[in-house]
Amino acid sequence: MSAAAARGPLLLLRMVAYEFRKRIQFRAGFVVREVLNGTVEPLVMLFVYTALYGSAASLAEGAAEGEEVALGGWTYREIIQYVAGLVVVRKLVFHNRALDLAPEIFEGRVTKYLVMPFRFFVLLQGRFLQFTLMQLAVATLAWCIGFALAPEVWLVPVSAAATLQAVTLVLMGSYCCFLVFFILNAMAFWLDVIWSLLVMAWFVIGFTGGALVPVSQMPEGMYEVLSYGFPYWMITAPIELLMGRLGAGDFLHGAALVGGQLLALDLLRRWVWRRGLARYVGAGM
Amino acid sequence: MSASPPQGSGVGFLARLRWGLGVERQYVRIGFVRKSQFRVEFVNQVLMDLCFYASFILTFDILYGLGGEGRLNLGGWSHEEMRVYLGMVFVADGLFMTFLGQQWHFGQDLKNGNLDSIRVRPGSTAFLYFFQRFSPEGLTNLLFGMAWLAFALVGVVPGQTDGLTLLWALPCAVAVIAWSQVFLMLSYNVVEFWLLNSDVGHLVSMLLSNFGERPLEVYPSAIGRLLKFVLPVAGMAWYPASLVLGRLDAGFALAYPLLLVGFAVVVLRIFRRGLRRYESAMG
Repeated sequence: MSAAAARGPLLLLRMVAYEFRKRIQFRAGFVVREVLNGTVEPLVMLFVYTALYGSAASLAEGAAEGEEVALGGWTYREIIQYVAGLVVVRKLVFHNRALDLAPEIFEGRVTKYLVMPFRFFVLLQGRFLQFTLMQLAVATLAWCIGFALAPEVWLVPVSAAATLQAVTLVLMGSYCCFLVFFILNAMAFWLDVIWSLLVMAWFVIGFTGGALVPVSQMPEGMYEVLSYGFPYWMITAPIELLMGRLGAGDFLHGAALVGGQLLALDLLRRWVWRRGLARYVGAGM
Repeated sequence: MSASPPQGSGVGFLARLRWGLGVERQYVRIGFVRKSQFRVEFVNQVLMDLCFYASFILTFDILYGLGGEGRLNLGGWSHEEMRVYLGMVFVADGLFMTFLGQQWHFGQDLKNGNLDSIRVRPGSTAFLYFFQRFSPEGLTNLLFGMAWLAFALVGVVPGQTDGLTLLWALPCAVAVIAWSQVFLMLSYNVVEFWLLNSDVGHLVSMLLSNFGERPLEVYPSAIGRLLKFVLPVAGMAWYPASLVLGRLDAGFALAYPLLLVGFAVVVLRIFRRGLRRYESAMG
């Protein structure tokens, strides 16, 4: 192995350590941004679903309140498990605020990275890895707290294999998000402001992934379309794998779909970056 | 317009209001000048909020559609009523985005000491700081929100309320939304004086806004009471929608705005107290 090739992984590790240090600097901010991230919407949706299933139960004669009534193929108990799964899974999804490439481009600070003897992208991959490791710990903690508080209703994975499959899909999808946000940040080579694109992408990814309503509970036509996208395989499908609603065959199908999209996004990322650098003048935009 | 606000005990409310409106007119002018330079960004921000509105509309269309159209309700709110509720949420969001966008920078500005230039200006620091970023794209989305509200009201007017009621209830509802948005926003941000640039203000804002975007009847009664009487998020959409739809009894409808005034007085006092902690270079 050449010395330059050996430097890559070492640099990556150093970047991860550096990113950890930066994140832990502001303790209150750390709790808010890293620990409580992604918990509010599921909590609110839990109340909405409770009211909805209550209404459905009152319409269904003889059914116990909130139970056994299925809406769109989901019982109330399953929906609670889904919401619990959302709290955990969404923590693992790469968040757009974790990437601040656009200001670097806009203010002409990318130059200093371009003269260094390594690929600039490895620095950002370090950010992704730091985010993932941190959020894996936070998600595990969130799952443990939820299980300790409400073991009867909390989402317990059906098997270790299902957990592994679900985590694989979430992380593949999260890397797709990372690539999408990189590409949108790189739009700063052409646009003055890109934060609205990032927020828009976040809305679209969240909704089409099932952050508000499980994709498999949506109308058939929507489900058919959305089940081709990586957001579905990043949010709804992994939770369904953990619940046992999907199996190993679905996992392979999803992994192939997300893998294809990941490669396509990476090619797009390389192309956009090259095109952007071609117009970059190093003195801010 | 005079550079300084009218001073002295003899100066009336109207004179102060006129001065405030003059300042706001200048902010509007600057907002249009700034945003006309960023046309793509203008379109993007309008699209961004439309995505937000569409995700809400679709979510509730899907949820109500699960039981067959017209059968399910959410805490007693039918699908038609929920559309009106969402209209109020969009109007509240539009008002917020149009006038109060600067609040996203409050923690950082506090940390960097950027309030100096605001504090030396004559006039209320809170008003001059939080209203300085007028957003034409927010105004565009406010118009979309109002259009949705009008569409939603057409769906319920024949059965539930009438045009005459709407004539007085709708302006009252919008006024309550504006008042609530301003003082709720201020209450979220005062936390930053004590927990500098921690994002706690943003978290509280996100948490309570999310709760307020759904009818209070879906929550356990303790949370509902908290959102009505302690942190009156109900003023954002629940009270205005209930007022317009005739879901409130007259006593409550009249008393609730007084509670909102009381809340505003308390928040302003806390804000002034927090402002005394400001030391220019807090970071």
